[in-house]
Amino acid sequence: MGEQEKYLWVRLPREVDHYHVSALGRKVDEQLLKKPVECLVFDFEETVFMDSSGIGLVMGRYRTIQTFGGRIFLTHENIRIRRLFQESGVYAFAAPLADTESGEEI
Amino acid sequence: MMRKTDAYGTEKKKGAADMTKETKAEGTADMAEEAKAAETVSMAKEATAEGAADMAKEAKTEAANAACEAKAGKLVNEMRLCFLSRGENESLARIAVAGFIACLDPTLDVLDDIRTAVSEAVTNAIIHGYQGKPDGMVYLSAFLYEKGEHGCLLRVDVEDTGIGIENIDKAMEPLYSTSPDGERAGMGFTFMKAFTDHLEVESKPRLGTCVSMWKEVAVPEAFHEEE
Repeated sequence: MGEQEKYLWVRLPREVDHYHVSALGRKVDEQLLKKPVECLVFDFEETVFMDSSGIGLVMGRYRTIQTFGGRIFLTHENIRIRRLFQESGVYAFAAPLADTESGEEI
Repeated sequence: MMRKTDAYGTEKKKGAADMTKETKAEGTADMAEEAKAAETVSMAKEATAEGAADMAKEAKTEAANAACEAKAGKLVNEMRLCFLSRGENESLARIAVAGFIACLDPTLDVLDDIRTAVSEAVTNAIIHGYQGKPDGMVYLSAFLYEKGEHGCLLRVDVEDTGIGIENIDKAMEPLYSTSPDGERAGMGFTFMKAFTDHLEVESKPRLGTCVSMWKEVAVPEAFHEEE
Protein backbone atom coordinates (compact mmCIF):
# COMPACT_ATOMS: atom_id res chain seq x y z
CA MET A 1 0.00 0.00 0.00
CA GLY A 2 1.81 3.09 -1.21
CA GLU A 3 0.68 6.53 -0.22
CA GLN A 4 1.03 9.78 -2.20
CA GLU A 5 -0.22 13.25 -1.49
CA LYS A 6 -3.47 13.21 -3.37
CA TYR A 7 -4.25 9.57 -3.50
CA LEU A 8 -4.05 6.23 -1.86
CA TRP A 9 -2.92 3.42 -4.12
CA VAL A 10 -4.02 -0.06 -3.05
CA ARG A 11 -2.42 -3.08 -4.69
CA LEU A 12 -4.81 -6.03 -4.51
CA PRO A 13 -3.49 -9.54 -3.81
CA ARG A 14 -3.32 -12.36 -6.35
CA GLU A 15 -6.54 -13.86 -5.09
CA VAL A 16 -9.26 -11.47 -4.01
CA ASP A 17 -11.50 -13.63 -1.82
CA HIS A 18 -13.00 -13.11 1.61
CA TYR A 19 -9.96 -14.52 3.37
CA HIS A 20 -7.45 -12.35 1.56
CA VAL A 21 -9.24 -9.00 1.66
CA SER A 22 -11.28 -8.81 4.88
CA ALA A 23 -8.36 -7.29 6.79
CA LEU A 24 -7.36 -5.12 3.84
CA GLY A 25 -10.72 -3.32 3.88
CA ARG A 26 -10.30 -2.33 7.51
CA LYS A 27 -6.73 -1.24 6.89
CA VAL A 28 -7.76 1.03 4.02
CA ASP A 29 -10.57 2.51 6.12
CA GLU A 30 -8.17 3.28 8.94
CA GLN A 31 -5.80 4.96 6.53
CA LEU A 32 -8.59 6.98 4.91
CA LEU A 33 -9.95 8.19 8.22
CA LYS A 34 -6.49 9.13 9.40
CA LYS A 35 -5.61 10.95 6.21
CA PRO A 36 -8.47 11.62 3.77
CA VAL A 37 -7.45 11.49 0.11
CA GLU A 38 -9.00 12.80 -3.08
CA CYS A 39 -8.61 9.54 -4.95
CA LEU A 40 -8.53 5.96 -3.84
CA VAL A 41 -7.13 3.62 -6.48
CA PHE A 42 -7.56 -0.14 -6.46
CA ASP A 43 -4.89 -1.77 -8.62
CA PHE A 44 -5.69 -5.29 -9.85
CA GLU A 45 -2.45 -5.82 -11.74
CA GLU A 46 -1.47 -8.90 -9.77
CA THR A 47 -4.98 -10.23 -9.34
CA VAL A 48 -5.88 -13.43 -11.17
CA PHE A 49 -8.97 -14.39 -9.20
CA MET A 50 -11.80 -12.38 -7.69
CA ASP A 51 -15.17 -13.30 -6.24
CA SER A 52 -17.89 -11.11 -4.73
CA SER A 53 -15.61 -10.07 -1.85
CA GLY A 54 -13.94 -7.73 -4.35
CA ILE A 55 -17.30 -6.07 -4.93
CA GLY A 56 -17.85 -5.84 -1.17
CA LEU A 57 -14.39 -4.34 -0.71
CA VAL A 58 -14.99 -1.56 -3.24
CA MET A 59 -18.56 -0.91 -2.05
CA GLY A 60 -17.46 -0.73 1.56
CA ARG A 61 -14.69 1.76 0.78
CA TYR A 62 -17.12 3.83 -1.26
CA ARG A 63 -19.21 4.24 1.87
CA THR A 64 -16.13 5.43 3.77
CA ILE A 65 -14.82 7.79 1.12
CA GLN A 66 -18.25 9.34 0.58
CA THR A 67 -18.06 10.86 4.05
CA PHE A 68 -15.44 13.31 2.82
CA GLY A 69 -16.19 13.35 -0.91
CA GLY A 70 -13.28 11.37 -2.36
CA ARG A 71 -13.44 9.28 -5.53
CA ILE A 72 -12.63 5.66 -6.30
CA PHE A 73 -10.75 4.41 -9.36
CA LEU A 74 -10.08 0.89 -10.56
CA THR A 75 -7.12 -0.08 -12.69
CA HIS A 76 -5.44 -3.06 -14.38
CA GLU A 77 -8.51 -5.22 -13.91
CA ASN A 78 -8.56 -8.18 -16.33
CA ILE A 79 -11.54 -8.98 -18.57
CA ARG A 80 -12.99 -11.36 -16.05
CA ILE A 81 -12.81 -8.89 -13.17
CA ARG A 82 -14.19 -6.12 -15.41
CA ARG A 83 -17.17 -8.33 -16.18
CA LEU A 84 -17.85 -8.87 -12.49
CA PHE A 85 -17.70 -5.13 -11.82
CA GLN A 86 -19.94 -4.41 -14.78
CA GLU A 87 -22.54 -6.95 -13.78
CA SER A 88 -22.71 -5.78 -10.21
CA GLY A 89 -22.91 -2.10 -11.12
CA VAL A 90 -19.66 -1.08 -9.42
CA TYR A 91 -18.68 1.23 -12.29
CA ALA A 92 -21.56 3.51 -11.28
CA PHE A 93 -19.46 4.76 -8.37
CA ALA A 94 -15.93 3.64 -9.20
CA ALA A 95 -14.43 4.75 -12.51
CA PRO A 96 -11.89 2.74 -14.51
CA LEU A 97 -8.53 4.45 -14.68
CA ALA A 98 -6.90 4.33 -18.11
CA ASP A 99 -3.67 2.34 -18.00
CA THR A 100 -1.71 5.14 -19.65
CA GLU A 101 -2.71 7.70 -17.05
CA SER A 102 -0.14 8.14 -14.35
CA GLY A 103 -0.98 8.89 -10.78
CA GLU A 104 0.01 12.55 -11.10
CA GLU A 105 -2.54 13.18 -13.81
CA ILE A 106 -5.56 12.14 -11.80
CA MET B 1 -25.34 -39.22 6.16
CA MET B 2 -22.84 -40.99 8.33
CA ARG B 3 -20.31 -38.23 8.68
CA LYS B 4 -22.93 -35.84 10.03
CA THR B 5 -24.14 -38.33 12.63
CA ASP B 6 -20.54 -38.85 13.68
CA ALA B 7 -19.88 -35.17 14.12
CA TYR B 8 -23.04 -34.66 16.14
CA GLY B 9 -22.50 -37.83 18.14
CA THR B 10 -19.07 -36.77 19.31
CA GLU B 11 -20.29 -33.36 20.28
CA LYS B 12 -23.25 -34.75 22.18
CA LYS B 13 -21.12 -37.18 24.15
CA LYS B 14 -18.77 -34.43 25.12
CA GLY B 15 -21.67 -32.22 26.22
CA ALA B 16 -23.22 -35.00 28.24
CA ALA B 17 -19.94 -35.74 30.00
CA ASP B 18 -19.53 -32.08 30.91
CA MET B 19 -23.00 -31.90 32.31
CA THR B 20 -22.54 -35.03 34.36
CA LYS B 21 -19.35 -33.63 35.78
CA GLU B 22 -21.02 -30.36 36.71
CA THR B 23 -23.96 -32.07 38.32
CA LYS B 24 -21.67 -34.30 40.34
CA ALA B 25 -19.71 -31.35 41.56
CA GLU B 26 -22.94 -29.78 42.76
CA GLY B 27 -23.74 -32.54 45.16
CA THR B 28 -25.65 -35.79 45.60
CA ALA B 29 -24.94 -38.83 43.54
CA ASP B 30 -28.68 -39.39 43.13
CA MET B 31 -29.11 -36.13 41.36
CA ALA B 32 -26.23 -36.96 39.10
CA GLU B 33 -27.80 -40.32 38.29
CA GLU B 34 -31.12 -38.69 37.53
CA ALA B 35 -29.55 -36.09 35.37
CA LYS B 36 -27.61 -38.79 33.58
CA ALA B 37 -30.75 -40.80 32.93
CA ALA B 38 -32.66 -37.76 31.70
CA GLU B 39 -29.76 -36.81 29.51
CA THR B 40 -29.58 -40.29 28.03
CA VAL B 41 -33.29 -40.24 27.23
CA SER B 42 -33.16 -36.84 25.61
CA MET B 43 -30.02 -37.85 23.75
CA ALA B 44 -31.69 -40.96 22.42
CA LYS B 45 -34.70 -38.91 21.35
CA GLU B 46 -32.59 -36.36 19.60
CA ALA B 47 -30.47 -39.03 18.00
CA THR B 48 -33.57 -40.70 16.56
CA ALA B 49 -34.95 -37.44 15.25
CA GLU B 50 -31.60 -36.59 13.76
CA GLY B 51 -31.19 -40.06 12.33
CA ALA B 52 -34.55 -39.78 10.64
CA ALA B 53 -33.71 -36.35 9.28
CA ASP B 54 -30.39 -37.69 8.02
CA MET B 55 -32.05 -40.64 6.41
CA ALA B 56 -34.62 -38.41 4.75
CA LYS B 57 -31.83 -36.20 3.53
CA GLU B 58 -29.81 -39.15 2.28
CA ALA B 59 -32.84 -40.42 0.39
CA LYS B 60 -33.33 -36.97 -1.05
CA THR B 61 -29.70 -36.75 -2.14
CA GLU B 62 -30.00 -40.16 -3.74
CA ALA B 63 -33.19 -39.08 -5.48
CA ALA B 64 -31.42 -35.95 -6.69
CA ASN B 65 -28.55 -38.10 -7.89
CA ALA B 66 -30.89 -40.41 -9.73
CA ALA B 67 -32.79 -37.50 -11.28
CA CYS B 68 -29.56 -35.92 -12.33
CA GLU B 69 -28.25 -39.16 -13.78
CA ALA B 70 -31.44 -39.69 -15.73
CA LYS B 71 -31.10 -36.19 -17.13
CA ALA B 72 -27.38 -36.20 -17.61
CA GLY B 73 -26.25 -39.74 -17.96
CA LYS B 74 -23.82 -41.97 -16.12
CA LEU B 75 -21.85 -40.80 -13.12
CA VAL B 76 -18.23 -40.96 -14.26
CA ASN B 77 -16.31 -39.45 -11.38
CA GLU B 78 -16.83 -38.38 -7.81
CA MET B 79 -14.85 -36.48 -5.19
CA ARG B 80 -15.46 -35.76 -1.52
CA LEU B 81 -13.52 -33.39 0.64
CA CYS B 82 -14.11 -32.01 4.09
CA PHE B 83 -12.20 -29.21 5.72
CA LEU B 84 -12.45 -26.82 8.65
CA SER B 85 -14.32 -23.56 8.22
CA ARG B 86 -11.13 -21.54 7.96
CA GLY B 87 -10.77 -18.76 5.42
CA GLU B 88 -7.62 -20.20 3.87
CA ASN B 89 -9.64 -23.24 2.81
CA GLU B 90 -11.58 -21.08 0.35
CA SER B 91 -8.69 -21.39 -2.07
CA LEU B 92 -8.30 -25.09 -1.26
CA ALA B 93 -11.90 -25.65 -2.36
CA ARG B 94 -11.37 -23.74 -5.60
CA ILE B 95 -8.19 -25.63 -6.42
CA ALA B 96 -9.78 -28.98 -5.60
CA VAL B 97 -12.75 -28.47 -7.91
CA ALA B 98 -10.57 -26.99 -10.66
CA GLY B 99 -8.30 -30.01 -10.33
CA PHE B 100 -11.24 -32.37 -10.39
CA ILE B 101 -12.31 -31.16 -13.85
CA ALA B 102 -8.82 -30.48 -15.19
CA CYS B 103 -8.88 -33.75 -17.16
CA LEU B 104 -11.73 -32.32 -19.25
CA ASP B 105 -9.54 -29.44 -20.36
CA PRO B 106 -12.27 -26.85 -19.77
CA THR B 107 -12.07 -23.35 -21.21
CA LEU B 108 -10.71 -20.65 -18.95
CA ASP B 109 -14.15 -19.03 -18.87
CA VAL B 110 -15.83 -22.17 -17.60
CA LEU B 111 -13.04 -22.74 -15.10
CA ASP B 112 -13.37 -19.17 -13.79
CA ASP B 113 -17.15 -19.50 -13.51
CA ILE B 114 -16.78 -22.65 -11.45
CA ARG B 115 -14.02 -21.23 -9.28
CA THR B 116 -16.10 -18.14 -8.52
CA ALA B 117 -19.25 -20.12 -7.73
CA VAL B 118 -17.38 -22.54 -5.45
CA SER B 119 -15.66 -19.64 -3.71
CA GLU B 120 -19.02 -17.97 -3.00
CA ALA B 121 -20.57 -21.15 -1.65
CA VAL B 122 -17.64 -21.97 0.62
CA THR B 123 -17.37 -18.37 1.85
CA ASN B 124 -21.07 -18.46 2.72
CA ALA B 125 -20.64 -21.71 4.64
CA ILE B 126 -17.73 -20.26 6.61
CA ILE B 127 -18.92 -16.75 7.39
CA HIS B 128 -22.69 -17.27 7.48
CA GLY B 129 -23.18 -20.98 8.23
CA TYR B 130 -20.49 -21.08 10.92
CA GLN B 131 -20.50 -17.32 11.53
CA GLY B 132 -16.77 -17.11 11.05
CA LYS B 133 -15.99 -19.71 13.70
CA PRO B 134 -13.07 -21.82 12.44
CA ASP B 135 -14.08 -25.14 14.03
CA GLY B 136 -16.98 -26.10 11.77
CA MET B 137 -16.68 -28.67 9.04
CA VAL B 138 -17.41 -27.84 5.41
CA TYR B 139 -18.25 -30.75 3.11
CA LEU B 140 -17.43 -30.34 -0.55
CA SER B 141 -18.52 -32.98 -3.04
CA ALA B 142 -18.17 -32.97 -6.79
CA PHE B 143 -19.78 -35.30 -9.30
CA LEU B 144 -19.19 -35.62 -12.99
CA TYR B 145 -21.92 -37.03 -15.23
CA GLU B 146 -21.81 -37.89 -18.89
CA LYS B 147 -23.85 -35.57 -21.01
CA GLY B 148 -24.42 -36.17 -24.69
CA GLU B 149 -21.45 -37.11 -26.81
CA HIS B 150 -19.20 -34.18 -26.15
CA GLY B 151 -20.12 -32.93 -22.75
CA CYS B 152 -20.04 -33.52 -19.08
CA LEU B 153 -22.23 -32.20 -16.34
CA LEU B 154 -20.50 -31.15 -13.15
CA ARG B 155 -22.35 -31.00 -9.89
CA VAL B 156 -20.75 -29.41 -6.84
CA ASP B 157 -22.32 -29.66 -3.39
CA VAL B 158 -21.17 -27.44 -0.56
CA GLU B 159 -22.62 -28.39 2.76
CA ASP B 160 -22.34 -27.12 6.31
CA THR B 161 -23.96 -28.00 9.61
CA GLY B 162 -24.08 -24.40 10.74
CA ILE B 163 -26.94 -22.07 11.66
CA GLY B 164 -28.87 -22.50 8.42
CA ILE B 165 -30.89 -19.91 6.55
CA GLU B 166 -34.23 -18.66 7.89
CA ASN B 167 -35.50 -17.32 4.60
CA ILE B 168 -33.83 -18.69 1.49
CA ASP B 169 -35.72 -16.42 -0.94
CA LYS B 170 -34.59 -13.38 0.99
CA ALA B 171 -31.00 -14.65 1.19
CA MET B 172 -30.93 -15.08 -2.57
CA GLU B 173 -31.91 -11.48 -3.29
CA PRO B 174 -29.06 -9.45 -4.75
CA LEU B 175 -27.40 -7.09 -2.26
CA TYR B 176 -29.03 -8.80 0.71
CA SER B 177 -26.52 -9.61 3.41
CA THR B 178 -26.76 -10.47 7.09
CA SER B 179 -23.05 -9.85 7.56
CA PRO B 180 -22.68 -7.41 10.45
CA ASP B 181 -19.40 -5.81 9.38
CA GLY B 182 -20.79 -4.51 6.08
CA GLU B 183 -17.84 -5.99 4.20
CA ARG B 184 -20.02 -8.26 2.13
CA ALA B 185 -21.67 -7.13 -1.06
CA GLY B 186 -24.59 -9.53 -0.71
CA MET B 187 -23.79 -10.92 -4.14
CA GLY B 188 -22.90 -14.48 -3.15
CA PHE B 189 -26.03 -16.28 -4.33
CA THR B 190 -26.37 -13.91 -7.28
CA PHE B 191 -22.90 -14.92 -8.46
CA MET B 192 -23.56 -18.62 -7.84
CA LYS B 193 -26.70 -18.35 -9.96
CA ALA B 194 -25.02 -16.29 -12.65
CA PHE B 195 -22.02 -18.57 -13.08
CA THR B 196 -23.70 -21.97 -13.00
CA ASP B 197 -26.49 -23.51 -15.08
CA HIS B 198 -28.58 -24.51 -12.13
CA LEU B 199 -28.55 -23.79 -8.40
CA GLU B 200 -30.39 -25.47 -5.57
CA VAL B 201 -30.32 -24.44 -1.94
CA GLU B 202 -31.58 -26.53 0.90
CA SER B 203 -31.44 -25.22 4.42
CA LYS B 204 -32.88 -25.79 7.85
CA PRO B 205 -32.37 -23.30 10.66
CA ARG B 206 -29.86 -24.69 13.20
CA LEU B 207 -29.15 -27.78 11.09
CA GLY B 208 -27.22 -26.39 8.18
CA THR B 209 -27.26 -25.58 4.52
CA CYS B 210 -26.54 -27.49 1.36
CA VAL B 211 -25.91 -25.69 -1.91
CA SER B 212 -25.89 -27.73 -5.13
CA MET B 213 -24.61 -26.22 -8.34
CA TRP B 214 -24.70 -27.72 -11.83
CA LYS B 215 -22.52 -26.66 -14.69
CA GLU B 216 -22.10 -28.09 -18.14
CA VAL B 217 -18.52 -28.57 -19.20
CA ALA B 218 -17.97 -29.18 -22.89
CA VAL B 219 -15.30 -31.69 -23.72
CA PRO B 220 -13.15 -30.58 -26.66
CA GLU B 221 -13.15 -32.81 -29.75
CA ALA B 222 -9.45 -33.44 -29.42
CA PHE B 223 -10.05 -35.04 -26.06
CA HIS B 224 -12.20 -37.74 -27.69
CA GLU B 225 -9.83 -38.30 -30.58
CA GLU B 226 -6.98 -38.96 -28.20
CA GLU B 227 -9.04 -41.59 -26.49
